[in-house]
Parts: sequence; C-alpha cells; structure tokens
Amino acid sequence: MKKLAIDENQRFLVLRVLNMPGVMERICSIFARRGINIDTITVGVLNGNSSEISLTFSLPQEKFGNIVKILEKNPCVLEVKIGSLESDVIREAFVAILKGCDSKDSDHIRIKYRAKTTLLSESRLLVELLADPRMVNDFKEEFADRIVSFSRSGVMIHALGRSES
Amino acid sequence: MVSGSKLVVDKLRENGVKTMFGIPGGAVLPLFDDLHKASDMEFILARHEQGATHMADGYARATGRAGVVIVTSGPGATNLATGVANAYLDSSPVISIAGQVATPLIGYDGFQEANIFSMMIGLTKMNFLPRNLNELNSAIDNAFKIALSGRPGPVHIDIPRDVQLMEGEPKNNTYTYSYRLPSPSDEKITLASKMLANAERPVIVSGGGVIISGASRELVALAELLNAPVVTTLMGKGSMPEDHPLALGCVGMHGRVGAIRVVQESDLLLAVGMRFSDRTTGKLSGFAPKAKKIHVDIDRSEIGKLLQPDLGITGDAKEVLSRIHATILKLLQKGKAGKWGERLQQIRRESEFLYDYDAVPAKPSTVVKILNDYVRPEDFVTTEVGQCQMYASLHFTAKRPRQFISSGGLGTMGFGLPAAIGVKAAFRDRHVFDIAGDGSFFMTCNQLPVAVDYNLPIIVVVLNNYFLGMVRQWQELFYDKRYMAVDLKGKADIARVSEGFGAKAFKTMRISELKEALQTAVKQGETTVVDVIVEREDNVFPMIPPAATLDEVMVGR
Repeated sequence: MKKLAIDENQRFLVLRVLNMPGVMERICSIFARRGINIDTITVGVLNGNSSEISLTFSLPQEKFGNIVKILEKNPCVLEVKIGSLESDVIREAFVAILKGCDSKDSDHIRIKYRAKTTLLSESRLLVELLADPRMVNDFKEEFADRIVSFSRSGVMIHALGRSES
Repeated sequence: MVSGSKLVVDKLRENGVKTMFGIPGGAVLPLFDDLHKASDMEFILARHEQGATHMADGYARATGRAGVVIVTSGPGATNLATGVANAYLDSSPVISIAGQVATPLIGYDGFQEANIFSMMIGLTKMNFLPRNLNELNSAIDNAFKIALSGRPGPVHIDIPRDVQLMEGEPKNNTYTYSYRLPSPSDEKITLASKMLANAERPVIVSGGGVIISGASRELVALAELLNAPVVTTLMGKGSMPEDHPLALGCVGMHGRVGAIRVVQESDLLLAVGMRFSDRTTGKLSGFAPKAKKIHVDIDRSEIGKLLQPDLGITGDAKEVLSRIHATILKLLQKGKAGKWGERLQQIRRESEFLYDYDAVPAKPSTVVKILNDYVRPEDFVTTEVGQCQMYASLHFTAKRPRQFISSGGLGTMGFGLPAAIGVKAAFRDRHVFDIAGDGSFFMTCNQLPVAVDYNLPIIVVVLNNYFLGMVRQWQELFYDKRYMAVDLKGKADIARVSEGFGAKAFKTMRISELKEALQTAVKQGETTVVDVIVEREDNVFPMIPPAATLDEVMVGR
C-alpha cells in the first residue's frame, strides 16, 4: 500500500474575513504567537466587504480545535470552514526548475503529472504543474534531488462551499 | 457636513461616554479641538499614557461600561501598550484612540510615527485604522460593540490626522459587527444539574466572568441550594460576598488554605467564567484531582484550552447558573445536595488567620485587615501587583462584585493608583482605596497630581518594605536568599513625595497610627497617601511553589 503523501497533522482552513487592511496580519499573528508555521496561504477578495483566505499548516489534532475556536471568535473572521487536504483541495499550483533533465524526463512528467514542461538551456526543465496536493507532493518526492528552484502557490481552488449569509 | 474629529466626539457621546482620560499631542489636536467644544464631556488629563489607560480600565471595571482613553501618535500610543495589554488579559472593555500622522505620511518615519496598528494587533480584541469618514464611522460604532459584547476586551482605533480633518457625510457603515450570545442546550444544562445534584462534595470556582456577567445573585443562590462552598479566582474576588458562610476566598498560588482544601477534596468542580490560569490551578494535573469538572465560559475557545472538562458549556454565566438552579430545584425534592457537613466548618476554622496588632513595624497582613474597617460595602479597593496584591487578596473581605479591582492576567505593577483615579471619576461619592507596595507606588505615582487637580480624592495605603517584595520572597525561598536587584533602599520618602504632588500624607509603622490616618483620610476627603512601614522580610503565605500542585501549599517559612 502506498504511503500517504499528506501527513495526518496537515490542516486546511478556509476563512471568510473582513476585507480591510491588517486582517492578514491579525490572522497570521494568531498562528505566529503560538509557534505555528503556515505552510501555504492564498487570499482573494470575494466582494467589497469580504475576502477569503485559504491556509494550510501542520498542527496536532489536540491543538487544532482550539485554533479554530480562536479564529471563530475573532471579529475579523466571518466564517471558518475546515477542509481536508486530501479531499477538498482541488488544485495547487507548483512551478519548478529541475536540473539534469532531457526530453525523456520531460515526456515522463507531462504524461504522469499532466504538467506543462519547457526544456531550458543546460539540461534544465521548467515544470508548471496544476494538481491536487497529493500529486504535488508525489512530484516533489520524486524529483527532490533535482529541484533547483520552485514555488508552490497554496490552495488555488477548493471544494468547500460558501454559506449564503 | 461633519469633520472626522467632530464625528468622533458625536459617536462617543452617542455611546454614552461622559468621561475620558488621556494626553493630547500633535497628531490628535483636531480631535481635542472638538473635545474643547463638548462641554457635556469631561476629559481628565493624565501624566503618562500608561496611567491614562489604567484610569480608563479602572473606570470600565467599576462601571461595566467602556472606558475611553485618547492619546497622540508615536510615543503617546506606544505608552498605551501596557495598559491595553492589561485590559486585554483581564477582559476589560477599554476603547483606546490614538492620533496618527496623516495617511500620506504613514510609513515614512515622520515625526511621532510608529507602527501602532501592528503593535496593537496582539494586544486587543480588535483594532482599526480608518482611512476615510465612512471607515471612521464604522470603526467607532463597531469598537463599542466589540469591546462590550461576549467576553469584553479592548479595542484600539488609530485615527490619522487628515481623517480627523476630513469633512463630509459618512454613509452606511462599511461593516457591522454582530455577536450572538451563545445559549447552551437543555441537554447540557440537565446533565450539569444532575452531576451537581448527585455530587457529595461540589465546589464552585467563580471567575471574573461571573462579575462581568452580573451573575453574583445566581451564584449565591446556586451555592446555597447545593450547600456548595464557593472559591474564587483573583478576578472573581467579590463575585460571592466573602462574608457569606459558603465563601472561602481565593484559590491559587496565594489562595486561602480553606479554598485550596475544598478544591482538592471536591468530587465535582463547577468552574464558571474562569480560565484555569496557572496562578489559579498550580500544576494543572494536580488541580482538584478527584473531581469531575464542568467548565462554563462565554468564550468557547477557553473550554478545553488548558483543561479538558468532563462537561463544557459555552454560555453566559448568569443564564447558565440561573438555568442550572431552576433545573436542580426540580431534581431535588427538599433542597440540598452536597454533603460537606461538618467538614466545611472544620476547613473554615483551620484556615482562619491570626493577626498581630502590636508588631512594630506593622505586619502587612494586619494593615489590610484593619483597612477592612474603613471600606464600606459601596466603596472600592484597587491594588498594585506583588506582595501587596496578595495580602489584599487574602486579607481584604470583598462584599460585592466590582468592589475589588486588580491586575490579574498581566500583573501590572503601577495599575492600582491610576485605576483608583478612574474608579473615583465614575463614583465621586464613594471612597476608593489603593493597596500598594513601594515598588508599585513608584511606577505610577506621577499620576497623583491628577487625583489632586481633578478633585478625585483617593486613598493610597502603601505597604512599604523597601523591597520589590514578591521577587525578594521568591529569591529567599527558591534562590537561597540570593537577593539581586530587589532592595529599594528606602531613601526616597513616599510621604514627602506625595506631599510634593499635592496630596496629604502620613507615615507610620504602627497599627494605632494607621487607624488615625485612615480615619482622617476618610473624613477629610482629600487625596491621601498613607505610607506604612511594614516588616521588611514578611512573606505572603499560603503559597504554592512554582510548578507544584495545590497539595504542596506552604503555610510558612
């Protein structure tokens, strides 16, 4: 059986927040003062008054519940939705440059990961991957020793619905 | 058309603000110009912004209404930090307003500019930096709602100078904060009631949330119905009148032995409006080890934060206690559940204090004991922090909620004196006493002229041992008496300093003279400092050593 690419402490939250300066800092400070490292964060304005923040981070279950309650009571936060990285994150964007690649590698990556690839000079390969977190993790694991540089977007799109209120 | 600064004044008035504290400065001058026109509002000029915030905090704690402090940008606002943090830790509804440099200048390190917005994020329930009249309108409206709703707390508003000067008609608020009071299910109330009714040795731990909620009457009723002793946290002191037969005083690091005993012997603990602070519980795993625990708090994030209760109830203390009382009444045919019986009386007797009225210099515990005779039920007592605070907690008998006002969470030395001024500003016909130590006194004694200038006579009783007493006590007990940086020498004369500030002053080391001084202070109605020289190396006992359980209570050296 294949090892899970996502660890059980990985968390995924979507927050609907007030759209005003400083809200990101207020949210991030809740994590920072408790020594919790945010792995990825993406933000988008929903309408004039509210924005959506998607966060991924690692935290044991016994501490996770408290963080959710603390976020819920913050006046900046209008709604907290708890998601699963396994099932609710539909796409993340991952862009990387790999070293020591040839056209075979390029074909392999295109077919296996459905990524866009571009061969650069000196055997370097630009990979543009739009995939679920498991596939992104699989890719990172497979090419860990060949990644020269990369950027991971965080949650690009998720399956958690928004309440009507 | 209205200017930003006029809008602020109008909104403060709309929210019932009559008294404010603070210090003006360049970035907030437009606002002060409009305050000048507000003859129906009083502005009390403090001598330092930290003290001004404690005044607003004291005002808020005594009244239950929001306390307002207004200062300028930069150092004015950074000086707020301690006071605002103090209010945050003790859930006090303080609205702090600071001027800020004009919006085009923010971030350019101009004169008296500091990043107050970021500084305040970790110290407040919410903070705002309005950039136009709409946002200003919204910020003030929401600030009061946020500060006062649910679990109260401070809200800060930075108002740039150009926003104060903007003119226009504010439109609808950019957002409206809404808060829904949580109401627990009938199932939870019934379960809690059954657990309490079936307990043999139930104990109620009452915290500051009971006072904020106004639930004292419900607390007393439930305690009497259950025949359950009530112990309090420091913040909950006074939630149960301490002369009530079921009141056993504060529990915790310097709690009363009786309070500690009943908690450790209880089989069911009902903790209401408290947060299991380390100062209350000692080593948490040893806190009430035989008891099932029911935790009631309005703040959902407090339940299970440190201690996983057997039953957690999110709700307002007044409603929850009242519903539990009603449910238990139906469950019990003829009153009473708890079977403490004679054991409770025995515990009470064992935890009585003995007082030495003849010692010279006076014993600090006796000074506080004597003070009880001069504090009427309607009066107030504030405290500083350290040994003086713990002597006050142990030996002052609080008769009602909000009578005892102290810095619990942050433990801010210098809180009591300015807080007393804030209390006095709200209740001019009551006596307000501050129980101080000499270390704390010197931290904010610069606010004494405020009491004198505004005819807000407070009475400060200094337990003067020429030491930072609590630190010295720890160094004595846990660092083999290696005293480091705790000796205050005593060359500064508190009585003369106080007279220099315009206050009346007495200096004594005898209980008999203390009585005369207090009698005079109460009678004359002038700001008075009574400098009581106390035994230098007296220790506050009982004491739970750090990281120890309540069972390891020390009752003497």
